[in-house]
Amino acid sequence: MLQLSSVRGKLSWPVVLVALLFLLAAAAAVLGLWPARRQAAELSSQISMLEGREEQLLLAIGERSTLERRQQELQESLEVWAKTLPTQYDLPRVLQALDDLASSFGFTMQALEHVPLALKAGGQTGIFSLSLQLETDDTVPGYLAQLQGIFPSLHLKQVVLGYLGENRYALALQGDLEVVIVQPGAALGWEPPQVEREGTARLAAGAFGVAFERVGAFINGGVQLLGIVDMVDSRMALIAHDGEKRWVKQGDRLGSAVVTGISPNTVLLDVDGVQLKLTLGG
Amino acid sequence: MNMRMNLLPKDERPLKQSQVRWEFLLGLAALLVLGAVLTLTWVEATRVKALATVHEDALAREAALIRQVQAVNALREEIKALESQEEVFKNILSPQDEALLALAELTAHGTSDLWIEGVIWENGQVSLAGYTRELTSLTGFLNFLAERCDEVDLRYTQPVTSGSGPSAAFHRFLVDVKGVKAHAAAEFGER
Repeated sequence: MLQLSSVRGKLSWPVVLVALLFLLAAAAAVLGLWPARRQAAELSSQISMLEGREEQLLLAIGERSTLERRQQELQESLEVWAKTLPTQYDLPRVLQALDDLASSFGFTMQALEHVPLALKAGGQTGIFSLSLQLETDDTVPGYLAQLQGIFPSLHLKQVVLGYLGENRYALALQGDLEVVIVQPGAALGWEPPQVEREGTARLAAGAFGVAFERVGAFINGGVQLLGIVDMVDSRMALIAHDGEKRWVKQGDRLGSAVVTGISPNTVLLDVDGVQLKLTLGG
Repeated sequence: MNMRMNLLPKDERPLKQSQVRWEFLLGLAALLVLGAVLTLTWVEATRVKALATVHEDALAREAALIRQVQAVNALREEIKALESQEEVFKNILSPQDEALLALAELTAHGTSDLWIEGVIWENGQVSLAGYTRELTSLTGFLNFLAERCDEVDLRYTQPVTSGSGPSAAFHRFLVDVKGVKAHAAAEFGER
């Protein structure tokens, strides 16, 4: 009590004013300064976080030009693919292109058949099984290369090549043409490429011979040399062929053979590159 | 001699000119503290205002960037779809078979008295059927094929005699070859 009365005694208006000033300063610090500092710190932290996110976003956006280039490349690539790979609606044009390709090689298309579309799992592609039979010349390798170039989705399953004689071949092909399935009404992009026959690869001349049955017909008794006579300016041979007797001279045809020479005891025949010798009494 | 005596209590006495009262010093300090606090408060408030502007700008930028990133993400999705479509296209391509490419090379044997009747290509295997007048020609042909293929299998030979005698006029044969070597296909490609 004594102390309080002593303090009260010492209180004067300057002391009260000073105390009020300190109180005011404290109130300003508590109510103004500290909240402002907290808010500033909070804002700084948020700005820092936003800057970090902005960097990440900018990084992602920075890839845009690369992605746009990639998108353009893919679109161009797909346009090329669309021109290269037929759709299910392109079958009539595919068959026409197959016919045109054979014609451009001078081949005769004897049969061109297909099996209706079979959808593959996933439904994005389908298969037309194709079967071709052609009569060709010796440019078969070039034709096959062109065929695979024009139809890169043609999976050949079997190729059978037989020699017919006189540089003609029988070619039979079986394969699956895989096509892209598109929605009805979609634009058809497939374009049959131009055929280039120039410089095409050929089968080696003389490497092939006619079916052995045709050769065999001359050596198993089907053809017999019965006699040879010398004429004034030539030599003739009497030959029994398929039960008929016939006089022949050099250059005459005897079935699929050509008489290439007559000597005193033998007759030489050429069955499309296969040389045969008939001997008297043989 | 006049003697002056101050009878006022010590606290009430007037100060010397060089002395200040403690109340004045305390008041001055209080004013300085108040001034400092108010100044700092003003500085902080200004800073907050500036930071708020920066924050708002950053938020606006972020919104704009997010829109751009969404566009980039849409681009990614589109690329993914295009790649998927390209993959479909690539998967339906037929691989080039070297044996088929080398058909001309495999049949260009150059062996005399040997003729190929027919060729069957199936699943990378080539079967060559033919006939020859001499078995040595067939051996030469097999050597020719062995130089160009990994596997050469003489499936059969069948002598065919003529009506004139017991010796064979021809030998029919069937050869299977597999694994056509790359150079054989390349030679074909150069032609």
